[in-house]
Amino acid sequence: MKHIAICTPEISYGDAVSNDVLGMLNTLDKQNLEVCIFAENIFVSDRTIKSIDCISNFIKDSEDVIIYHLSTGWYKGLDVLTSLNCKKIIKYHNITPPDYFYGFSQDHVETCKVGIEQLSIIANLDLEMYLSDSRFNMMGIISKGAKASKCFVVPPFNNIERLRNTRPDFGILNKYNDKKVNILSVGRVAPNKGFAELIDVFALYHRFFNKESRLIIAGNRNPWLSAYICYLEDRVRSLNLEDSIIFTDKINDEQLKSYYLVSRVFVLTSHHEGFCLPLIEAMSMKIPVIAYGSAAVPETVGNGGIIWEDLDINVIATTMNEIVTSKDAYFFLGEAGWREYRNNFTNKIVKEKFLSLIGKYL
Amino acid sequence: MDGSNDIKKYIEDLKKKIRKKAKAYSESKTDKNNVTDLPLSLKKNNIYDYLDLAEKNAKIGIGVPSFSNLSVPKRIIYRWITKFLFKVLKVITINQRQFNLSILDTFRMSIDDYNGLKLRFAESKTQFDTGIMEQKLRSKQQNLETCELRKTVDYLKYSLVQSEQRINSILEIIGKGAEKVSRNKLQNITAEINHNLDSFYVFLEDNLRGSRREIKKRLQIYLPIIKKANAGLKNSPILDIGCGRGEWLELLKDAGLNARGLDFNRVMIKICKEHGLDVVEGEVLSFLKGLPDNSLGAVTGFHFIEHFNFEFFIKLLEEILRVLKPAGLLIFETPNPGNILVGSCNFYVDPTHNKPLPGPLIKLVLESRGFSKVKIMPINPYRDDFKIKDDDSEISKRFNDHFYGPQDYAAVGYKI
Repeated sequence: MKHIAICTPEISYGDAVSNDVLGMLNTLDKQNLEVCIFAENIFVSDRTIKSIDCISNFIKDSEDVIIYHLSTGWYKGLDVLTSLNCKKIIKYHNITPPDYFYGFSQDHVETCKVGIEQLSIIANLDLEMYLSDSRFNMMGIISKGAKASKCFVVPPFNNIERLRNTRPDFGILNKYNDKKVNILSVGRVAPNKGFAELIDVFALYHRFFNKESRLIIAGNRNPWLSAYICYLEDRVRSLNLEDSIIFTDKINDEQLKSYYLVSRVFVLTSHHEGFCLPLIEAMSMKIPVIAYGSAAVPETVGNGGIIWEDLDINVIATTMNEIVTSKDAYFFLGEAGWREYRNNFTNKIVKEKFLSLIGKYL
Repeated sequence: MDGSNDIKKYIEDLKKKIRKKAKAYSESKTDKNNVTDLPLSLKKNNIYDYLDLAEKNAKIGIGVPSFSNLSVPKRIIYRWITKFLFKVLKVITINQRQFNLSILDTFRMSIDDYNGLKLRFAESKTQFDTGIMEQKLRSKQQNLETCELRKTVDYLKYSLVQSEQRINSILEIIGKGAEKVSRNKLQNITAEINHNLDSFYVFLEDNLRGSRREIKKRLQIYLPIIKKANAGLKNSPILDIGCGRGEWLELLKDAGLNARGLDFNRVMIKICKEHGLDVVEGEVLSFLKGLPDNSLGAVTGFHFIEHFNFEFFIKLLEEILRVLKPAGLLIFETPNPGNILVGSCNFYVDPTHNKPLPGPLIKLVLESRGFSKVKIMPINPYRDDFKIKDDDSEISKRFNDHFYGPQDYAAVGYKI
């Protein structure tokens, strides 16, 4: 029986790359193949998840396959990729340019630099296939040297079906389901996510359009980026919005679902996204999406929301007001987002696309 | 909303409408001078554009107009006169032009310097902010440590009060003479002796088992199993026996699941209550005997079963099987003696441990007492940096497995 190894630096519950890895595992497991995940940092207990150090006991035949998830610099992973003799497929999830982290975290700068160096090395290894989450990512890996004929786009597997069936956290529902309008943004608190601009947008909206409003920023606060977090908190303080802007820190599925349920609009002002899973989460929950069209964002949103080519805070604040005050726009955009999700990003669609592309190696 | 073209058109129309409104709002805000509230970086005018324009104007006068709308003879005469006038004027204004251009250069340099300073200021501010932040973090950490110390002092006080109570009771017996003290009181005093080690065990946990956060992180792996078994709902609550400091109960509470803890250790019970958890003080067998048949969705016990002898363990399993609902879940986590370091040394670091329990034995016992789908899940291996990495030989792999493999295992089973 053919062996398939899915390699990733870290596996845990809740992050986008791990969702993709686990989605691939479930899909391939049903194809009568011997499939295992190999990772360096393991936070999920399962017999099919093993340490990357054991991969040489599993991949023995030249017809066996490695699916390598590329999302950051990973020395051990690169060693495995270059040393084992088998079929190799890359799944590229994008690497954030280090520039965003200068002045905030030297550690992140170095990790991203290594990631980009390794991206060039891997792109030039001329492996069997290069899959990317989005066309934006695909163009990125082609520009580093991968052959265009071997590059394809497959959206990531996601946890939306699970999220839709999850029971919400009633504590959050009770707390935030009040007369205030909740504006939501989801993503880890990092400089490339453009939260400083989001705070400005909200300040404008709050001051000129709706005093009875609240901004919820739902995402993990990394202690290594505390300089950036302090910078955001200072900004919130200087705008006198401490009571109206909420940073949730790390949350579980139940809490995430509740924040989606209590929110009226989803806003994204990120400067760099390789795919952006929260966009499709919001679309699947029928929440109108407003986003700044950077990197892969226009591709992910498609016709499912409003994309602005410039990060003009006045225009974005006005858009928020339009959606909040116009029932027609609210329902239309909610429905448009749902259609976009249903037509392009359900796990069934992802699975079909994924299998049709890698089928010849199975 | 019939097709994607309709959606696209609707969105485009909406964007046009919003752009118009945004412009109107922006103008009305400018009228009220409120726009100063916006961050400076968002204002579009660039000072270098103004400087370029000024430089262009300062240089005007060098070229001669073409006079293309005039007839040829007139054009020649006019151009000749203009050239002459320019030459005269150039003599007069040459210094003025040079002055203007120098002023502009000075401006440009000052602005460059200003921007350089601004940049350096921003960098220094970031460094300063980072410094402050680090200090804040350090002081937070110190506060946490102080808080932990304060808690330890609390436990010690609690333990002291308990000891005083016991000493008073004993003094009372000595004072009255043992024969005059009631039988019940004597029994209570004897029972108190069982609580002698309560504070010591908490001290041991605090120092050896790991921080609350670490333990919570480790226990997270069980949440999916609990959810899959549909345990923790209103009609299928979870009972955690030997709940200790309540890390697992807290995880369950955070996940919105119904759970109750049971522990014999009063200090542990106090800690759990301080964390707002639902806990009961009691002895496990008597507590289980008081529960009705088929009333629990799951029973869990982390680092619990290794504290008791085999006969007790069998009785415990019988009671658990009785109180679990059909398809109810049982999870026990215990040290893995398959790991040589654990089996030979680490197990005995806790003097209240009875005997190491090998995974295959526990699997057989659970199956023999009526549990189904019993699985042994090895967990918590040593960190990679402990392992020998010299070569890929079979012997180093085996060595790593035996010495640095999983330190604990979980036994998971279901009531048929």
